[in-house]
Amino acid sequence: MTDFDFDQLGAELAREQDALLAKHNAQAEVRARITQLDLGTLRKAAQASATRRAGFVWAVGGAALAAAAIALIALRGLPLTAAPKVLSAQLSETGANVDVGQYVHVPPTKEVGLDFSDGSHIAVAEHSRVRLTGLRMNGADVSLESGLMHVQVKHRTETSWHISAGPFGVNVIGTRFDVRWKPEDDNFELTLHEGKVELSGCAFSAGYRMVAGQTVRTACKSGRFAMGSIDGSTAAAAGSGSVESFAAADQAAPADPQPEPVLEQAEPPQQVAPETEVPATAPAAATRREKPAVDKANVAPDFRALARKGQYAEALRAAKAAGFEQECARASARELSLLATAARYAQDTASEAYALRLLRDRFRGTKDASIAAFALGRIEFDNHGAYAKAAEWFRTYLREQPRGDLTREALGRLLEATQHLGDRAGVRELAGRYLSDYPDGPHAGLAQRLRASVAAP
Amino acid sequence: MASKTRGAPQAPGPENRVVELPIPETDAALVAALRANRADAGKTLFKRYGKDVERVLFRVLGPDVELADLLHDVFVAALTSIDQVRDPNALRGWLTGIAVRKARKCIVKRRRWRIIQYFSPMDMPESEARVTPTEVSEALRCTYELLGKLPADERLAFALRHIDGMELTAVAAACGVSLATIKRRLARAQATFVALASEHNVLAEWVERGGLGR
Repeated sequence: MTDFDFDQLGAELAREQDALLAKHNAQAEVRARITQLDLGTLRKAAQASATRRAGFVWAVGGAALAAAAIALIALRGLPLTAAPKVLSAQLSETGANVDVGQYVHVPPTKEVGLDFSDGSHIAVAEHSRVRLTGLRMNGADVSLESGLMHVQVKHRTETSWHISAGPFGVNVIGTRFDVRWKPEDDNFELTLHEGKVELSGCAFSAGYRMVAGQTVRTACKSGRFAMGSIDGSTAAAAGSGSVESFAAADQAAPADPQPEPVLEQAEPPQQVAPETEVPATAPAAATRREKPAVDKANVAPDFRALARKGQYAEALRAAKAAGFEQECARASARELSLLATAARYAQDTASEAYALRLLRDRFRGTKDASIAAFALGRIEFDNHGAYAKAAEWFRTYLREQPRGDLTREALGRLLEATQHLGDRAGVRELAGRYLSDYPDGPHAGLAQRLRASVAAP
Repeated sequence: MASKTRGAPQAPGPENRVVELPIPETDAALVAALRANRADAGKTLFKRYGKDVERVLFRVLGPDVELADLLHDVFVAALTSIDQVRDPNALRGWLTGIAVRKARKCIVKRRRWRIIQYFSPMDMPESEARVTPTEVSEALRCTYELLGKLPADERLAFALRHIDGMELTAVAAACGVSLATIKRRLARAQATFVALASEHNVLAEWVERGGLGR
């Protein structure tokens, strides 16, 4: 065998190719073509084509096999249905499609219905906020950002729905339940009318299975939950059951927690009407209970709600009023990112850095922690001119995310920081690496200039 | 310094109706958006991976007149078969696999066509593209001339391993074969390449030197 250096030849060719691609790539041309594509039509056409091909194959070579398969299916009593498709979701009232990632903010006057193509339905109560986070062939992922929703999931083979509410998760197979999440009070409540669900997060740890007729309330910070039956609790404490009263009770006696407090649930099971119209009874009553005058005066604004509305300065003020460090200590990774973002827009660098450092400490090894490293590097660079520290943070990001979404930016910022530190060898190495990896990146011009300048005697 | 302006981002305004949020940055979220036929998902997929895929195609085929069409084909294939993604977090590898299969198909198709055209005085152009010949170094031109004589599977293994610098396991995954198979293909490709290069006007000198720059 030869000792020809293939890797050296390949590296030379790769460098030349990268330079050629930087000048003559087909990105713009193909991007324009891709942008014009209609995904739905394209996939339907592909499915039709695949069906035709499959039909031909079956006709020629597999007729006997198909007949046997159909006979087998018929004998087992299984329905002959089309291949399963990814579910779709529409607003009940308008029929408008709701896509993954879309956010439904329900007006204060009436609830909004979401119809899913598998027959499932979610009625989102007034003032609530919901985001559709995933659609699959056998279910959907829905995030209840705040408020109340009535969920009715059609049970089918391998149904898999997931509802998230702040730090809590609800795995659903086929069921009907009401779920309420009030992030400002850290209160989660679920009433299960039919079927079974599995809860996770905070006091539920990795999983807690509920059965029909049960109702549960919890606050993440309390580390415990109250479980009761719909019928029993209705008799026990009629008229006093609401999330607010639970929270108030929780706050009134924080030093003397009961191991398993009796649930004060008074709500009768509510049927969710599939129509858009607001049911005349239960949801309206629930809404009325959510706004007692005394609560309105006492409840402090929540930083999450404010930040999500884009009111960052107010969000930061709210977090500080509630105790910034305590809020940070119990926040999830996403909420810490939200706090850091609020602080950034409010131009409070110290608070931003605090949230980011805590994010790194508490959620070490996660992608969020790596992004926090990049953000800390940016703060050191832009706000403090501390280039050595900035370089260290950018290196940390690159080490943790060698192919991350911010790798190009981190490498570019590291090059800038290294330039400020006067490290000529480092600049030479980083400029070469940047130009090799990102010949048309935003720092490419700077990298070329720096490489030329450090190469000069 | 441009970085001074980075500290003053524009705060997004509040929204109060159904609005379209940007597709989250994870591959899993992008796959979910694609499966849901979200309008901007195809564009986002191309934005994230268009350059990677074009680079892989360029590595395998060299400067090629059909590169843009192949790049387009890869993404159309990806968009129409997104339901077949088993691991949504491994989107890059899945796209690379599609690109490799498209490139292989292109190589095989041309070879068949060349056999049909065997008695024609016209030869099939293979090394002409939007990149003009004067821009291409002798090393690049000659290497792809030789790679054009290797069997398609060996050419793929050689290009992905030595030119793109992929790990052997990644090459095996992209080609859809075992690690042992890739090692065998690579060994055969290296031997054939050196044998062909020894008889080549330009490359014979490299072989004697053991490489380009020795």
